[in-house]
Amino acid sequence: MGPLARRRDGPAAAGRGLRVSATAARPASDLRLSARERAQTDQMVATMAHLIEDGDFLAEGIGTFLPTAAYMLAKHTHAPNCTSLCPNGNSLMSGTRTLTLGHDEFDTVPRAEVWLDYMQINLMYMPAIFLGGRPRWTEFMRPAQIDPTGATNNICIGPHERPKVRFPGAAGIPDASVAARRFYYYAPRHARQLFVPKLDFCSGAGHPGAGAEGNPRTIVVVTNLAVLASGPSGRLRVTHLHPGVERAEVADATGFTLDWSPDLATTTPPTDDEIRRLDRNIDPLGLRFLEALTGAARRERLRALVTEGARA
Amino acid sequence: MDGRELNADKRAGLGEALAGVRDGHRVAFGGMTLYRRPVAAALALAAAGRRGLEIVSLTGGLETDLLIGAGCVRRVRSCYVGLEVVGFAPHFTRGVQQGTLELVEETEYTLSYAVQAATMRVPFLPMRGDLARTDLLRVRPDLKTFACPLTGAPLIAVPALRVDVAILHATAADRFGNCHLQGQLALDPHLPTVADVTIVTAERIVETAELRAMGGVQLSGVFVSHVVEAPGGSLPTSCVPHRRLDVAAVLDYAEAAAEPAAWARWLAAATDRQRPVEACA
Repeated sequence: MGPLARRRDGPAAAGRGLRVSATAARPASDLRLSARERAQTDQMVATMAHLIEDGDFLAEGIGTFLPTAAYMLAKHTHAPNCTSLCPNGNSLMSGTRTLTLGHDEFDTVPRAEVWLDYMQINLMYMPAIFLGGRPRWTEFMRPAQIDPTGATNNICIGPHERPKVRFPGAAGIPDASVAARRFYYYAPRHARQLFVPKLDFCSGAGHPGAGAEGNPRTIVVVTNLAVLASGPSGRLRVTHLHPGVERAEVADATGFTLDWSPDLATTTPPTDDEIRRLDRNIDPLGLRFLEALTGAARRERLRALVTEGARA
Repeated sequence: MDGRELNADKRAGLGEALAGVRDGHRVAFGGMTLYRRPVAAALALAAAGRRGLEIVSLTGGLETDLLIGAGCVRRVRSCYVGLEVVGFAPHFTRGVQQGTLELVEETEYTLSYAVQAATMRVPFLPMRGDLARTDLLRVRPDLKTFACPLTGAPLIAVPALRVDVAILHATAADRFGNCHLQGQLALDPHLPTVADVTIVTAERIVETAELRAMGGVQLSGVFVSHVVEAPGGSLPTSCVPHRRLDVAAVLDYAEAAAEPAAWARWLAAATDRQRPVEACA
């Protein structure tokens, strides 16, 4: 069951909903989220943090506040010896920092141990780490579509030559997905549009199937409702439900028939200490909550954050 | 003279430096997404009315999107074009969806291998064949699969990629084109080795000794053709340690780019603000 969880039927799970922090600096209404959505976001951060092991090589995305908050939380708590690869400034950095809206390089560059260029990342560090297997690489990617094997799409909806929707692109996901044994995704909005029976374009390799060669051997997806991981057949199956989430809600929000782990468990909720660290030390601006928003609400929240930053 | 002599004074005005960029050229931009992008140079190319450019950018941001919006771009070669936290790059997204913009779907590895092959003057570099487990090869017929002559394992030949012009923005440079780069180095130290012409815009042009004091030279002037003093030439993208990313200005950009009349006003105002850079250089 690993570090994530208690047994679903265990005593600690009884009657517990998602925990809302008593020390929360920002009310959910300011974040344009419901109280449940706010708590789900912190549950995701805590669950991702719990998947990190001490000594991991933590590769950050850019503007991916949820996993970056999780990396910092892990470094604050059980995994202080992780090294972060910070794309804003392409530097290797130990220690923790506070999340910023687009100014991370002003914190990472002066505090880095090593500065790299992208050729060193792509032709040296990543091949050595992915294929050499040391140190343990951990990164959470956010896909636009996931299929039952855990294959993903960050390219387009509709035909590639004339798509209905074009996404920014898959960046290094295609390279990493076929080289890493273990691949993590996160999904702040568990929905049928995300979990689809068939991808419009495969830009992240799925599990190759039982007995077949190739990576990744394990795919884990942390959503706002549940945790899914590759089962013995290679298909994703639900291994954990977040506190207060029922099977039916996950099944309804998934566009294919789900497999369920026989050891289905409940994820460990964030502790008060973890939430305090997130609100006070790691992400006082509440940037991690941006990832739960889309469209006009997201733009309005961004404007509010920029105005707030200009006043500070 | 192409200005590549080691001890030549390579200072030029922005317009003069960019005069070598022709319609149809393949142009690589330094920096990454919203960090140390040569935005002033991109605006000058838009104002000059260049057409049919192929833009090469490991990750494209505002500089690439504004050139698409100004009608300068035929093809983009990248693995990500967007505005990060602000969201989609509006002109890129629309251009691909409407079929008016050609896109070469790169990954971080394919573009890095392509530049490295061009640097080494070999026709291709072999990449492990596992990428065939995604749909990438289906949209990249130029990436050919072959059997390794030593082990028989499947490999992919990633063709070398040369560019006509590389344009970078530096934290500081001297008059010989030696550059001090900070923060996100991206592909900057490598692009000039695959470009016929390299144009550097710099926050400041200083004496060589001052570059040493700042932390040294990350790109030698031997590869640089022209150096242009352009304070704020990366804005609204960042330039460590002088300029922070102006997120409000990127939000303004995204809103303007969503609507034709607002876009025309944004582009006119932005190119107008460029004139002082041009004049003082």
